[in-house]
Amino acid sequence: MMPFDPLFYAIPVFVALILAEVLWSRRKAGGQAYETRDTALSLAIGLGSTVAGALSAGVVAALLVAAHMLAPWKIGWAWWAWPLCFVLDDLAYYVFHRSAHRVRWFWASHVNHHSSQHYNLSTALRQSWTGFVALSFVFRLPLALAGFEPGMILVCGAFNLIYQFWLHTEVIGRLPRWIEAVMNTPSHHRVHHAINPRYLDRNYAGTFIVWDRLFGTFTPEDDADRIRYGIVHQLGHFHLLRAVFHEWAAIARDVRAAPWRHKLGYLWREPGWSHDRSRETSEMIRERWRAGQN
Amino acid sequence: MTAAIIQLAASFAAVLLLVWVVHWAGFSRAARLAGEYEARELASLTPGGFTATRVALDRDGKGAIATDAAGRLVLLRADGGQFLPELVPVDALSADGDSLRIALNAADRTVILNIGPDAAGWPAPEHAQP
Repeated sequence: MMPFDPLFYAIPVFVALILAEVLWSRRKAGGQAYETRDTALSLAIGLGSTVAGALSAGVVAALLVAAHMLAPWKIGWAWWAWPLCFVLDDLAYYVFHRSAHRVRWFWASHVNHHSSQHYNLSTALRQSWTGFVALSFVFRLPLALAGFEPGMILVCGAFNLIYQFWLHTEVIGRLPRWIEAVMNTPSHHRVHHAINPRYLDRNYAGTFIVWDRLFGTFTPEDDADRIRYGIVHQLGHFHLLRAVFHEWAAIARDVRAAPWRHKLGYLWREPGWSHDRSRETSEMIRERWRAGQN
Repeated sequence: MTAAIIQLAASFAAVLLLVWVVHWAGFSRAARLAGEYEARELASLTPGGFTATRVALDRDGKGAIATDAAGRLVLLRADGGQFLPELVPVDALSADGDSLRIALNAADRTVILNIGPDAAGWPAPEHAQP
């Protein structure tokens, strides 16, 4: 199925780079890039996500194979299929990621990745445990239906994830303009992790920032507005299980309490939506902020 | 299966190593506020919005209390290396000399801010509930 797993070979590099970033942050006077309990939580969530991923990997692979069998043609392992598959997988990632921020069912799984108030390489490993339950895999099925080999799709997806690791750092400022124009960079991704109103729900890209530029979701980093990281309602604790499942629990509470005709809204509407408008969505927060600027 | 268990054990060991290194590097200390400007900025991130009209900082920068034009109160308390803005009811506050005690019902704990002689003035008289 999968010729080899690039993530397996990347993990030692991840560990080495985190060590290097910690030592760099230590030398930088007054640096707050890391916090012990936050890092422990990020790494514990990361470790748990590898277990969760392994448990569902077989089913995901089987679904990709089934979709591939339905494809009207088979692209095979031609050399040119690799870059094409990578680019299209990155587009699929953009769609997945945008949905993960705009549909609460998907957000309940993805929120784990955003729940740290710190932004460092360990944050990159804060991955979901419930991606399978949230149906994240459906976004890759169209590639298999288009005839790409399931193994190729999985390898391209793994390389995409590896690429995104180094984006999670404040060590790197801005890269040359042509890189910032085409590629996702630490600067662009810092914006994505910010809770400053102007930055909420922006820059969904995985590898190529061109998707955000193309679909109108791009916002550049503004040095005048210090970035604050995390989620609108910060966790406020470092408990592993509460951190991983808190949004699922919140959905359950909301669905139970909502009137019948609004129950589904708490599953498919955007995070922050409420039937009585007692809460704020990203758009409402941004509007309030803009009104305050005038 | 054995390879997977070895991989998991190695990953767990790497996690412990990294957490120890982060602690060794001095990143276990609580956050400190740089000043009133930072307190106002952080308070503005309170869910629902908040524009502070008055702020009192803990002398060591361990936290701050702020009020807005509507008389709402926001506590900024250290949450590891960062701060957490939290709306608190007026009756959660009590002054004790130079200290302001804020009872957090949700967390079942009390935060104490040393804000100096000004402590007795919180909550601001004009915002105190009858």
